[in-house]
Amino acid sequence: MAGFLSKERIVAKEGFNRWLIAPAALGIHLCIGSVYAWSLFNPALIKRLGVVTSAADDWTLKGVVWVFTVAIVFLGLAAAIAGHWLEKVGPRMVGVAAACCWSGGFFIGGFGIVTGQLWLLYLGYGVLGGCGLGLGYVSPVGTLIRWFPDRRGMATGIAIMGFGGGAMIAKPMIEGFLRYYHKLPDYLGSVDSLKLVTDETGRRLTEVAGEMKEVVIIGANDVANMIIPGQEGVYLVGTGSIGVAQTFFTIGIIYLVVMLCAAFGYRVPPEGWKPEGWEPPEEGEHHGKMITMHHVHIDKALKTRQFYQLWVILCFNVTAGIGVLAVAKTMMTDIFGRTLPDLVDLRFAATYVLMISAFNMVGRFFWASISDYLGRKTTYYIFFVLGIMLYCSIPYTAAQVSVDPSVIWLVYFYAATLLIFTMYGGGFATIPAYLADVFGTRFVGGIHGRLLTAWASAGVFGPVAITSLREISVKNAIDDLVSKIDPSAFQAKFGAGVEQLHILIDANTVTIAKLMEIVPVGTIDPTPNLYNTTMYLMAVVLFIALLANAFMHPVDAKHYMKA
Amino acid sequence: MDIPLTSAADVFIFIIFCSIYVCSILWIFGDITTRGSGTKAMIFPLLFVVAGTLALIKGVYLALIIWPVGYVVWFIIRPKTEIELTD
Repeated sequence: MAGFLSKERIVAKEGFNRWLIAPAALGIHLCIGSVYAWSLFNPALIKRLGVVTSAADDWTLKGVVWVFTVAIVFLGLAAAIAGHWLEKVGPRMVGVAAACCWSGGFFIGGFGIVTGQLWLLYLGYGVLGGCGLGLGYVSPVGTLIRWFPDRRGMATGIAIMGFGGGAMIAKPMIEGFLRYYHKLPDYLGSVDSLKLVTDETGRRLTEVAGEMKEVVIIGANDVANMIIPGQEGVYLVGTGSIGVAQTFFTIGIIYLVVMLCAAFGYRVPPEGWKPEGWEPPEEGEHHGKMITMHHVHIDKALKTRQFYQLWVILCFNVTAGIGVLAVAKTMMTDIFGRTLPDLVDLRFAATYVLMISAFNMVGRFFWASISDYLGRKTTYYIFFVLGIMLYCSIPYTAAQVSVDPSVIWLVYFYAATLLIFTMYGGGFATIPAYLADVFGTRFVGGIHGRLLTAWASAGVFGPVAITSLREISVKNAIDDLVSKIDPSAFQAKFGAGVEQLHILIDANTVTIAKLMEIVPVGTIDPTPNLYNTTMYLMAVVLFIALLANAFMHPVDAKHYMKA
Repeated sequence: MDIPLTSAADVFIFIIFCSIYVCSILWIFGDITTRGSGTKAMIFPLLFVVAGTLALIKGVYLALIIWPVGYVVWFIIRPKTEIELTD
């Protein structure tokens, strides 16, 4: 079996159409790209027992939301560790391993949901699935670059575009399966028709067939959020199904089949193969594009400063991207939804989210392809210079629309953020070609795997930065508003004195919106400015990446492998 | 994860510090492999990963002392020359 998967067995025969590699690579990336659809599972996972609403023993959002981060961290670790193995055994073996890990992650995770073991979900989807992500992500990169030495940016752009688009395809599929497998729990009747008691742990109980059993009660608001329409009233805990486990098992099988088919489509070019009519240019013959014809060993690459410059470029580009990705929809609804309510409604926000995914995906192909003509260094210059300007301009837009609710600011914000998302995706897709330019093509797949630790790191930095900065901004804004409010008005509104402010904030009793109801007339609502610090910090982070790119020079000749 | 970040400067320092930390692990890993030090030497990057995880998740910042100590020890015991790397 190992022989059947080995690198030697997949050397392409003469006349093989190199374009057949692209759909194979795209297939793998489309499957693993569904990781970005993880948030679809969160609302269901916190209602595992209650189904219609959370029961007392259900998992919390805080508990399940980190599964995604664990998967991204293990993506980076697996890609880094498997880099050397990839170069040794070839893409088919790694692709098959990726298929087994990714689908195996769904199976173990599904088993964890069935048995109520959260750690199994982390182990399955987070650890094993994350390893599948890392292996799948790097498996086609080196092969594509060797098949397309003349268009290496475009080739990797096609594959990595799949990763960006995976969630777009997975979303309707997951939603469809969740609906299909969803089973409402037993309906016991309206609240008035039953005798309900609350035990010492806060659970609601009622008598069913002579036994006291836990129930959940849903009101009009919960009914609106139900996957399958039901009625208001009392439901018996543990009798329905959220359908996530069954969805995990089903899509696990689908991904296994698709990824195995794609992995078996991989072929590597014969030694010394080059596209018909294409001659590798001589060293320095690239009009400033800095493309080497030498090769740097995968282990040696870690000793070069260029590797760490590229690490900073990728990590900080992704951190900045996550920074705006996490707040864009909230900004749209918080700021523009309030100032332009006739235009920015729920449907508008939903379309905006869809456009974010689309531009992220298109940016991967567009920027990676255009980098073949502009050169990788110039392309990243564009990302960072343009990015810094756009990030710095967003706070100004938010401030202006609060003063002057004109559509022009909405158009600007929409265009600016979508452009940022194309560059976020473009940063991912262009980096393999940049690596090939700097370190040569021999070990590019493995080196790319090790560079993905930058992505894993950004997967931690981004959310930590966003949540911390938001908390800091909200706290400062509340302190500022409270300083303008008469203490007696504060006491009357919240039933406690200003000295208990921080306790009231922690309990969500005091919020900016509630304070705005009692501030003196003419006080400006600070909500549009809550994201300013985030945007400025992300601009600073991009500036460091800009410097790392500016000082990029060819690798010292002493690091090249001897012919 | 319990990291007390109370200002934008704190967040910036956190990002820079973590980046340096991760890059230093990659560098020592590369140094170990290019000097042919074998699997035993992998204890150094592994210790750094464990220390970093403890600091990040459990708030055990003292674990980070492993980092400078590990580097000093590695520079003392590492083979003086690099090996020739081949395919």
